[in-house]
Amino acid sequence: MSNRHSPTELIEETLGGGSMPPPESTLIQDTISRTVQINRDIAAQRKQAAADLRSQFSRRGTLVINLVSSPGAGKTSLLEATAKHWAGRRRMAVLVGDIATERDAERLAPFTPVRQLTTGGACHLELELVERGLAQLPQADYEFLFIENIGNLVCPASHDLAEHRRVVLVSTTEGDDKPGKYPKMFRTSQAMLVTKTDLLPYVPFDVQAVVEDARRIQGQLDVFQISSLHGEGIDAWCDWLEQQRQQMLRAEVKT
Amino acid sequence: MHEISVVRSLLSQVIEAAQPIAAADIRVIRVALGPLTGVEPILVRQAFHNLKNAAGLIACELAIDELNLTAICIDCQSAFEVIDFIFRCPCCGCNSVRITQGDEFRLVSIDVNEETPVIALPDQAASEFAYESGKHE
Repeated sequence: MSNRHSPTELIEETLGGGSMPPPESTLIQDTISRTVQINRDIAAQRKQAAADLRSQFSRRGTLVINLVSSPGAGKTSLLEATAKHWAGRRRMAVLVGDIATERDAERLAPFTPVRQLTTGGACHLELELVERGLAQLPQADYEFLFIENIGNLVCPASHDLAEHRRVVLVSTTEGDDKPGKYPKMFRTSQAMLVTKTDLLPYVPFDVQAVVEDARRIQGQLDVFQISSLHGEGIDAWCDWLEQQRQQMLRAEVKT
Repeated sequence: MHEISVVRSLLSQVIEAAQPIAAADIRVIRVALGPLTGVEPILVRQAFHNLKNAAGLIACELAIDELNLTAICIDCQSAFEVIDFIFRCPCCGCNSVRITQGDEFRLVSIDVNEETPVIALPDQAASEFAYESGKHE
């Protein structure tokens, strides 16, 4: 099947709805063109690489959690509280992403093995950075690996870091209208943590509203209310992590 | 999102897939773009315009099929369009739904000058539709 496009058709097609400068249509003469079907996801290679690494983690028994949120929602505090809660009873490690500084790694180092990933300006972590950080961790047989992403509710949503579960944090200080504004992040997450609940008496934040908003986008979302400062909800969060790991191990046995 | 790097990746995949057809003989690149990719069509067109000549695609235009976001209800199996990112079945009201279209940026086809040699391209199997399909295994 050969398609014949006149230059004007091509221009209309290309400019449809956009504000593009005019294409160099003079180069397109009346030669006949032929359509070659390709049908390929542009991100296929990247998705496959993430899926392969995820399988490696599953075989090793490591549950990988990608923590995402706005800056300052409490990802590092959550990890600190999680490590303190387990107090060495679980083998965990953290890869923590930031644009600059080792501050988060320094904060977490007294409680857990940790490596800082600095992106030097990039607004999200990519798989290559995670692999590099992984190679620098002291062991390979962790039960839980946490990847603390760059604080950003947009770009990290589009990057599979080989995690088994994506967990999004929303703090009570940043507003209960976030999920609807960043639908992709909430759609691609499996759990939502409402953090800084100790501040609820002082801020106009409606927990029920944020949960309803998030579940309109992702109906299967598990929700926890957390105060890392006071320890509220950390038990339930850690139980959930254990359950998710057991699920992953059962799925691994079946395959 | 990151349209420049996304389009750069698109162009290199086009040129690789088209071989042995020369880049200059590629007339149209047709892509399908969904709203849940986070990739903005206007910025994709702009990036294409800025990058095409350096990639040797001097006579090439970009056609973008903008896809709707669609889903299927896991309970009652009805298919529907997702409006305003509300993933709820309009038929039974349940929110257990699977995305069927709209979270992918797909290279659909290329149009090439007829006089270039005919090649047989393998029909690449569509890779997984949903980002989510990799999860909850």
